[in-house]
Parts: sequence; structure tokens; C-alpha cells
Amino acid sequence: MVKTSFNRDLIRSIIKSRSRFFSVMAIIFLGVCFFAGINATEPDMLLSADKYYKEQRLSDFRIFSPLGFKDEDFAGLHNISDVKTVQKGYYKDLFFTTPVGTTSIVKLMSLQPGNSAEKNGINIPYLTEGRLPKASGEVLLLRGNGVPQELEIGSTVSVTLPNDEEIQDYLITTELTVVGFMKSPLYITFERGQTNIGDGSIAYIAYILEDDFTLESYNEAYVRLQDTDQYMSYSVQYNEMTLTAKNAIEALGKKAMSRETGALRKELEEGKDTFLESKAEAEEELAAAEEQLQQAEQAIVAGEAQLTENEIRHSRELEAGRKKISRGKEELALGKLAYYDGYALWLEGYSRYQDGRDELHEAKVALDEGRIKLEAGEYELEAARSQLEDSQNQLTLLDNIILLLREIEGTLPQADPNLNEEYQELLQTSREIYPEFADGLQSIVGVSHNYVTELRTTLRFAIAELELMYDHGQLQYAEGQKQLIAGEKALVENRMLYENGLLVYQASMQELAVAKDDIDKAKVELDAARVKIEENVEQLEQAEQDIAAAEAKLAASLDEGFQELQVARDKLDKGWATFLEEKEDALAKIDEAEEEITEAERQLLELPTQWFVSTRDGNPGYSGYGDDVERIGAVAKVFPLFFFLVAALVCLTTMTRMIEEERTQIGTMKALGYGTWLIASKYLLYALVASLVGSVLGFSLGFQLFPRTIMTIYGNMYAIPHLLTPFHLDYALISMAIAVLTTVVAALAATLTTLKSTPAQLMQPKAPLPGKRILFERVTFLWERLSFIQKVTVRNLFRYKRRLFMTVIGIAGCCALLLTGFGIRDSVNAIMEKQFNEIFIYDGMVMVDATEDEPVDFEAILGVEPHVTSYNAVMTEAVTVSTDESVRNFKVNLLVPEHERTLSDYFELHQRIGGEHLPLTNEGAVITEKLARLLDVAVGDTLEYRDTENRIYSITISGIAENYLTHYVFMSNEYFGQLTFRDPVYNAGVFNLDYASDYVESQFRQTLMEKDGVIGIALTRSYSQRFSDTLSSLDYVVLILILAAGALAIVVLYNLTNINITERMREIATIKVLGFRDREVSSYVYRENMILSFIGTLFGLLLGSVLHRFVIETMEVDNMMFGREISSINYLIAVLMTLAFTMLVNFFMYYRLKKVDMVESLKSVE
Amino acid sequence: MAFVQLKDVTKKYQMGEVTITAVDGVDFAIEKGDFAVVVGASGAGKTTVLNLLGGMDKLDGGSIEIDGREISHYSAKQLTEYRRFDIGFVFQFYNLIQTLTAKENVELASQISRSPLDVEGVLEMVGLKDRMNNFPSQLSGGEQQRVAIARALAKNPKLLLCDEPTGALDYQTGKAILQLLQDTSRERNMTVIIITHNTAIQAIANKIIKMKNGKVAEFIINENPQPVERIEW
Repeated sequence: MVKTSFNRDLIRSIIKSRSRFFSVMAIIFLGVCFFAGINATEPDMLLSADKYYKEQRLSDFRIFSPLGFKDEDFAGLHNISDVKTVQKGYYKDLFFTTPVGTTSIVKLMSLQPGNSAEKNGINIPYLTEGRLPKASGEVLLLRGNGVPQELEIGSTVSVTLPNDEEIQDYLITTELTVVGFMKSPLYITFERGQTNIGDGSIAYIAYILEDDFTLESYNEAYVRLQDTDQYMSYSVQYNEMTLTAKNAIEALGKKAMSRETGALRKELEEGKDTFLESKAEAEEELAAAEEQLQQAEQAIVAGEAQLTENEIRHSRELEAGRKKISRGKEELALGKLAYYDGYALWLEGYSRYQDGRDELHEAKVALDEGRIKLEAGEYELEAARSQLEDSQNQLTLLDNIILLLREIEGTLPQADPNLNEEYQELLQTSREIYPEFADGLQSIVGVSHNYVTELRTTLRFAIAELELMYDHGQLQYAEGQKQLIAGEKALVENRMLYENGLLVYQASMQELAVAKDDIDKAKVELDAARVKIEENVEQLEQAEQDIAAAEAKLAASLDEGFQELQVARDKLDKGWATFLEEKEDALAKIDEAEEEITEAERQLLELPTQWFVSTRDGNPGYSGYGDDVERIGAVAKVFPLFFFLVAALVCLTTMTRMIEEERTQIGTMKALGYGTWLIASKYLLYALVASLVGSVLGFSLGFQLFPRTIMTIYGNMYAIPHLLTPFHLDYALISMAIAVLTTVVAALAATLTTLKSTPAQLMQPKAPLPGKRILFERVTFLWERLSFIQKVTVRNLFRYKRRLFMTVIGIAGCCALLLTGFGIRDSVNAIMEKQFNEIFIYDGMVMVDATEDEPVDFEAILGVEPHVTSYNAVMTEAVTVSTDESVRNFKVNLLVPEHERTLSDYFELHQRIGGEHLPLTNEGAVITEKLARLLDVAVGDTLEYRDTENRIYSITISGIAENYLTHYVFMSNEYFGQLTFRDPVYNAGVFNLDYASDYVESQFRQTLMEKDGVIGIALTRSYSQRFSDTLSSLDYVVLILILAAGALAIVVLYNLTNINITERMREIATIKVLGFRDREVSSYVYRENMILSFIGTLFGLLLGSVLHRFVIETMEVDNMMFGREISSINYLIAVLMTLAFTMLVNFFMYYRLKKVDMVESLKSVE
Repeated sequence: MAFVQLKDVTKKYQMGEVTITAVDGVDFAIEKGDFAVVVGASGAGKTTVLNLLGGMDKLDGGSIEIDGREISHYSAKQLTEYRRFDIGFVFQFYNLIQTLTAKENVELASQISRSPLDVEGVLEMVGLKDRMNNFPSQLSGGEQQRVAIARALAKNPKLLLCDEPTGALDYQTGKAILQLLQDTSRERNMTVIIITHNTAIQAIANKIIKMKNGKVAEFIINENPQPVERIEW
């Protein structure tokens, strides 16, 4: 009966504490569900795929031979020991046109139906509709996005080939009827591969019967190994198993190819050698001729130098002579100047002399005149004197006459008649002395008259007159006398003057004579100088003449020399001309030879050396699926474990608490005599039941929910018809074990610890955890600043350490999950934002049908479009890239721009870190970051790529550019030329648009499509839109993470707060009794929660950024790179949401707190 | 009007299908400064009376007036305010906050009071000035109860309610606590109501309320309360 009451107690305690029981169960359920479910996803996905692969007998190898397979090749393949089945196949990439007129690029393959049940056949079609082709002209289509909508069973398609090919070379018919639709394990993704026709990407796959092909030899082969069925696909064992066979097949392929190409290779090499030789010969001849010419040229140059030297020397001498002459001339000029000065001086002197002489002459004349005057004066004076004497004499005579007259009168009788005689006599006498008197007398007296009287009277009168005359004469005489004296005096003076002047004149004459002498002497000197000057002039003239002669001679000789040189040069020029002409010919020949060599080299390079053997890993669908599954596995290992850990911790806390609460009861039981194990078993059972039920429910749901959900989501990407969700005993057991163990061990440990005490002690209330001073209190200055309540909070924080860690871990987990969720969205959005706004900044790309012989005129397509602002022609090709080390290869877009300079207007290539711009050089190619990471290569390493014609080239990496979407290899056209010996064929044009108001996308697209050669248009706007749509499924991941985070936060916080409240019920009741208001009571409890949440949030941010990085790196698909950054707004949102969850829990717990009964405070401590 | 007046107070508890009348028409009155003891056996309803007096529970009938205010119709909020400002409560198991020192425990109460007493002064009064920085776990039961009394007094309440204050203590310590309570009542004219099952204690009170089966069996006005040292149990 003990058992019964024991069981009853167990059941009652479960019922009593049902909220606790269910919370333990719930958290175990959540943890196990998440853990088991996500962990089961990976194997479930692998199993589903594996089942598909095995049922459809997916090949292990696809082998492609560029030259086709021969029978011996198949024999060789069969001889490889591991090989079980070999399926020969034809394929041809061509065009299908539907009745509606849609033309698509189709890979047409030969069908060899097999039967999975009979374990034959390879890559058996998984029919989804219709039937397999049975007759010629029937076609089976592989379901996919590229299949035109209008195609259904019964539709016919017409087959066309690229221009230069004939349909009958490949197929027996041009009309095919659709008989069914299928799926194939070969193509589980939307990817259908690349080709070298059309725009390069295959739209869909079609199968016809093998006999419908007319190809000479099979061009592909699928191989399946003996042991394939024994291994799980994707397993390490499987990969190891295929290795030997792969090596054997590759060896076989090399042998086969060298067999096929050996002769051609030899021929090519010989041809190349011949051309190399002739090229060398031509080059040698050319060099010899050139050397000869150069020698002649050198001689000319030497002669020229000699001449020039001579010319210089002679010129220098002439120059010296000329200088001397000019110096002589200068001197002569000076002499002349001096002569002219002297002459001028002389002339001046001479003219002065002449002036002097003239003056003297004039003076002489004046003197002579003076002398003449003097003489005249003397004469005059003489005459005057004689006159005077005459006058005196006359006077005296007069006087005497008078006296005589008087005496006559006196003697005259008074009338004297005899007087006539006398009178006559008188007259006579008077006439003698004085005729006038006598005349007068006669006139008066007439010849006789009363004579005497009259004579008296006349006498008297005459006497009076004579007297008067005498007086007057006397006066005149005195005057004359006086004048004479003055004249004499003046004459003397003048004579003196004259004599003085004469003296002066004579002295001057003498001086003049002296001066004349000087002048004459000077004149003599001048004349001498003049003669000398004239001599010098003559000399100079002579010298000038000499120099002129010398110059003329020199010029003549130089002319001659130069003429000779010119002749030589002309000859040389002619030689050069001839040489150049010949050289051109020679060079043309060399070029020709070189072209031939390059051509030969190109052909050699392009000569296939091996089969292309790809394992399943080489199938992008197969490997992509494997990678995705692995990623889910990686995420599964971290996320749920973390979640589970928190769940276990919460259980542990809850169980410990429960046992502590039932302490008294345990004591009582013990006191009543129950054994330790029996007592413990109650709690163990409690824990066991809770955890077992939780676990079983958890994995039961988890195994279905998570794999199904995730596979359904991935089903959009991978066409795998099976969805296996088997029960995973391992995960079930593991999760259950962890759950049960944690809970039970926690319960056990707590019970045992409790049971160690004696019943008496147990009946006593357990001493509450003693209050302690904490380290923080020592920091007095801070501690004292805390309010009283804050002090309580801080002490409590440190008092319940377990709770502290639990809360911090729980909240940190919540915050980390949120941050990761939002971060994933950021990272995915980064693809959109960075890829299309920062890297691929072009607005569109137009694909054209260009060939080497018929380049496309991009100007006509893009240049004339009004909305196109700029464009750049590019060559793009889908190539396969790999390294020597890498097993896997990647589909990469090779891009060669026509103009490297403007490439950055369309593709802004730069490093992600640092942002350094990466130009295209001739040193190597720029590859995108994800590709570099996948192949583990760095700048300077080399890569190999295989183009659509299966030619393999090796490139050097010159830069690694930030890029998020698909892989690219960018190279300059020159580097491309160096690499491939080919010119790029520009088959696409990237362009930018103005997005003007009249821009209508559909119209623009249509106009472009209607142009010649245009086969496709990709507009960035619509592309990025479509891309963002496909990425939106990732929002589910974010939502799941947010929900998980919320669940985690709520469960953890609810549990912990619950425990907190239960444990402190008494304390809470007490402070309520003390009169704390509801709000004060809750803040008294919540303050700790908030602080712990805050600390947890901080840790969560750290943890979240690490987790985000991990998730991003594991989740990334191969042809995408996610952004690495989380935006700061999302950090904020994560924090706010975490705090919101905390608040939510607090809000619910508020009512719980309100309901705490104050009466609890009165109860004794149990 | 008496300082504390209970009139026909009734309180019923619903226990499943059974209704228990814990208090059935209790009447008594206590004057200010009285040192009253409510005494009765377990289940006599004394704790219910205490809960009702302390504003921790609502009555189903009758009325309680404290200092002229009718509290029987108070809302939960009003009751909180009533507890906060008017009531000092001393618990049987002291109910000290373990994470707080003696002084801090007292402060916890004084901080929410409108006219608190000086914390250290109160602690000195209860004789624990030297130990005020100790945590409860470092104190003996008697000392803890002193801290609890100090905590109740520090709020400067109108009414000091003590629930079996000596219940968890040994004889000597219990007496010391009673002495403290009596002294407090006398010195500070504090109205003190002690709830106890210990009939020996009633001798020191001046009002004795004997309860039985949820009713006041006897109401005694003790003109000569005994000094604490004279009582024994």
C-alpha cells in the first residue's frame, strides 16, 4: 500500500504544481523539438535525395569527349573494374520553337530508358506526366522554369540549329511531339547549364530516342559504379569510393585523346617549327641589311662631323682675321678722326691767319690811306701855307697898293688934267698889280672922265674897299693861320698815329709770319698723317680682300664636302627606302609567320588533351543540395544545442527549487522512515515523467515539423520528389537522454543534497540564504550613491548567482537570436543594395548574336536609343573555373569589356575592405570575392577556366573584387588576347539609362528586341526585383528565429521570474504587509530582472554578432555572398525587442505578484 | 469613540464546498495607548482578527474603525495606504529581509513612511545599536525580533500589531521582547495589540480579548497589568 500512497503523492504533487510540471515539460518539449527536429533535417534531406538518386540510378560520372567516343573507349570504360554500367549518349544544343513561336535553347539528349526495379539504365527519367518516347519523333521534356507554358503533351516543336549547321548531321527529324514530362536527378535545380549558342544559357532539357540522332559518334557517357548502391550519397565513403574509378577514367581519357589528337598535334607542331625557322631567317636578313645601312649612315655622320669641324675651325680663323681687320678699321677710323680733328684745327688756324692777314692788309690799306691823307694833308697844309703866304703877300701887296693908292691920291692933283696919262699909267700899273681894280677902275672911270675927281673918289672908294678887303684878308689870314696850325698839329698827330699803326702793323706782320710758319708746319704734319691714313686704308682694303678670298675658298671647299656628303646621304636614303620597302615585305612575312605560329599555338592549346570527367560534385544541383544540407546541419549543431542548453538549465533550476520547497515534506518522509531512494524516487519520477513526456512530444513533432517545413522551403529550389521523415532513433535518444538526464540529475542532486541532512534539520525551516556583503559594497563611493532599493537589488543580484547566470544566458540567447535573424536579413539585403547600387551600376545588358566574322554594330542597337546614356560592348561567356587543388568547379561569367577605361561606369570593381578600386590590367584578371573564397585563392595565384568550347586556359588573379551575386572573371581584352590568342567577340552591351519621364520599360525592351542581332535583354531594375522576390523566402528564417527568440525569452524569463517570486513569496508578502504599493512591490522584484535583462542583452549583442557571422558563412550558397554587416538599427531593434519580451513577461508576472497573499507572511517557514 | 473599534465583525472563508466562519460577530474597543492582548486557542479566529485589523484582508460583515476612520470598506489600494502609514506589524517569524542588514531592514520601513522615526534611534531603543550592521542571519531570534519591532516602530504607526511575537523565541528572550513592547507602549503611548495563544501573556495587558470559535468569549479590562518579569509560562 506504500506504493499506492506514494504514487498518489506523486500524482498529487504533479497536479498541485501543474504549472511547474507543464513548464518543465514545455521547455523540454521546445528544446527537444527544436534540437531533434533541426538535427533530423539534415539526414532527412539526405535520405530523400539519396532515395531519389538510387531509384533513378543517378550516374556517378558524366564523361564528355570533345572529339566523341570510339568503341574502344567504351570497351576501355567497361574494363575498369569498378564500373558497372556505361551509358552512351548523344546530345546537341539547339533551338526548339513551339507552335506559338517561342524559341528557346534546348539541350537535346538521347534517352535510354532503364528500369530501376531491374537495376539497369542510368539517370532514369522520373515521369511526372505522360509517357516515355517510344517512337521516332517523340520527345520527353524535363520540367523546369524554362519550359514554355504552352507546351503540353501532344504539342509539337520544330527543331532548328545555329546558322552554319545542317540538321541532318545531327537528327533525323525536325519535328518532335511532346509525349511526357519528367524530372531527372541530373537536374535538381533550376540550372540547366551553359552552351555556346544563343545567349549561352540552356532553357530546358529534352530527351529523344537514341536512334533519332544521326551523330557519328557518341559525345557523352554516363558511368555508374558497382558499389554505388551501397553508399549513402554525399557521404565521405561514397566520395572515396569514386576516387579510384575517377582516376582510371581520366587516365583512359588522356590516352584516348592523345590517340585522337596525336597526329594533328605533331603536324601542328611541325608547321609551327617551320614557320618559326622562316621567321628567324627573315629576321636575320633584315637585321644584316639594317646593320649595313646603319654603318653607311655612321660613315656619313662621321664625314659630316669632320666637315663641320673643319668649317668651324676655318670659320674661327677667318673670324680672327676679320676681327683684326675690324680692329684696324676701328683704329683707322680713330686715326681718321684724329686727322680730321687736326685738319679742322689747322683749318681754323689757317682761317684765323687769313683773317689776321686780311685785317693786316686792311690795316695797311688804312695806313696807306692814312699816309696818303697825311701827305695830302701836308700838301694841303703846304698849299694853305703858301696860300697863307700868298694871302699875306697879297695883303702886303694890298697894303702896299693902298699905300700907293693913298700916295697916288695924296699926290693926285685936285683935278689933274694930265692925269689920263697917269691914269693910263695907273691903270696900267693897277692892272699889273690889281687887274680887277684896274677893271673896276676902268669900268668906273671909263677911259677918261673927269678922272681925277672921279679917280679920287674911285680911288678913295677903292682904297676903302681895299682896306676892307685887307682887313678881311687879314682876318682870314689869321683864321687860316690858326687853321694851319691846327692842321699842322693834327697832321703831326696823324703822322704819329700813322707811324704807330705802321709799327703795330709791322709787328703784326711779323707775328702773322710766325703763325703762318706754324700753320704751314702743321699742314705739313697733317699732310703726312693723311698720307699715312691713306696708306692704312689701302692696307685694310687689301686685308679684307684677302679674307673675302679666304672665305670664298672655304665656302667653296665646304660646299664641295657637303655636296659629296649629300650624294652619300642620298645614296643612303635610297638604301633605307629600299630597305624599308623590303623590311615591310619581310615584316609582313614575319607577321604572317607569327600569325601562323600563333594559330598553330592556339590550335595546339585548344587541342583537347583529356576527357572531361565530372563526378556528381560537378553537377551544380547535386553539390548545391549537398552544401545546403550541410549548412542546415551546421546551423542545427549550434542553434538548437544552445536552445536546448537553456532549456536544460531552466529545468535544473525549476527542479532544484521544487525540492527546496518540499524540504519539510522530505524531512517528514525521512522521519517516517522512508529510505533515501524512495524519497528521491518521487522527484526523480516527477522529473522523469516531465522530461520524458516533453521529449517524446518534442521529437515526435520535431521530426516531422522541421524537416517537412525546411524541405518544403527548399523544394522551391530543388526538385526532389521524395520527402522522407523517418524516425531518427539516434536523435530521439540523444535529445531524450540529454533532457531526461539534465532534469533527473538535477532533481537527484538536489534531493540527495537535501537528504543528507537529518530529518530534524529538514523539519526546521531551511536557513535562508544569508545576506552577505558583496564586493561591490567595498566601492564605497559608488555604493553610497545607490538608493536604498538599488542596494537591495544589487545584493539580490549577487545573492542568487544561479539565477543571474540563467537569466543572463537566456536573455543573451534571445537577443542573439534576434540579432542573428535581423542580421541575416541585412546580409541578404546587402546583396540587393550593394550588388545593384554599388557594384553592378549598369542599368541593363543586351545580348546579341555576334560571331568572329560578323561583329555586331552596337551603335545601331544602343547608340541610337534616346534613353541610353552610355554603353560599352562586352564579351561574356559562361565558363567553368577550377584550380589544380579544387575538386569542385564553378560556373563563372567571364566578362571582357571593349573599353576598360569606362568599365567602372557599369561594373564598379573594388575591394570589399578598404574599397580600393581594381582596374583591369594586362597582368591578370579580376575575380569576385566569393569565387576566390570558394577556390581558396589569393591575388597572384592562378586559376583554370574552361570555356563553352571546352578550351582550357590558365589565368593569373590580379585582383579580388567585392561581389555578392554569382561569380565573375573580368579581364582586359588585351589580357584575353594574350591568353587565348583570340580577339574577344563582343556579344553583349551594357548600358545606362536616363530613366526620363517618357521611358517605358516594356516599350524600350520591345524596341531593342526588334533590332537585328538582339537575342536578349536583362534590365537591372526588373532583375533585382525578381531576385529580391526569390530572396523573400529567407524572411521565414528570420521569422522563425524571431519566434524562437521570443519563445526562449518568454520561457526563460517566465520560469525564472516565477521561481524568483515563489522563492521570495514571504519577502514579497512581508513588504506588502509593510505597506509597499503594488508598483513598488513589482519594481522591487523586477528591478533585478531588468538589470539582468540588460546585462543579458549586452552579452546577446556580442553573441549575436558571432552567431550571425557563423550562420551567414554556413548558410551562404555557392553563387552568392551575403553581406557581413548588421546595420546599427537592427542592433537597436534586437535590444528593444529583447526588452519588450522581458516587459511582456513582467507584465504577466505583475498579476502573479498582485495575487501574492499577505497571509503568506504569517505562515511559519516550512 | 474608541481608538480601535470592532463592531460585529464577521469573516468567512470558502474552502471548496465548505464555508468556514473564521470570525463571527466580534466586537471590542481599544483605547489609544492600550496594551491589548488577543488570546485564544488555534482556530479561535484571532489571526483572522489580526489580518482584518492589519488591513490584510477584507471583512464580510460589521465594521472596523481605527482612529475614527472606517476601514471596512477600503479598497485594496486604500488598504495599502492604511498599512503603509497607520500600521506597524511584528511577525512571529520576524520576516526580516535576509539580504538587508538590521539597519537596512528598519530603513525599508522608514523609507515609505510619512513621519518616520530616526532609524538609529529606534535601533538604540530596541538595544541593537551595536549590531545594526549585521545581517539577520548573524542575529539571534530575539535580536531579529527586536529588529522587526524596530522596523514596525520606525514607521511611527498608529497601531502596533504583533502576531505571536514570542512564538518562535525561547522563554527568556520572549519575555525580553514583551518587555520591550510594554515599555514602548508605555513610553510612547503606543497602542499595541498582541495576538497570542499564550494565556500567560494576557496578564501584562490592560485589555484582554479572549476568543473562542470566532467569537469574543471574554473582554477583560485589566486595571493592574502585571510587569513582564512577574509572568511565567
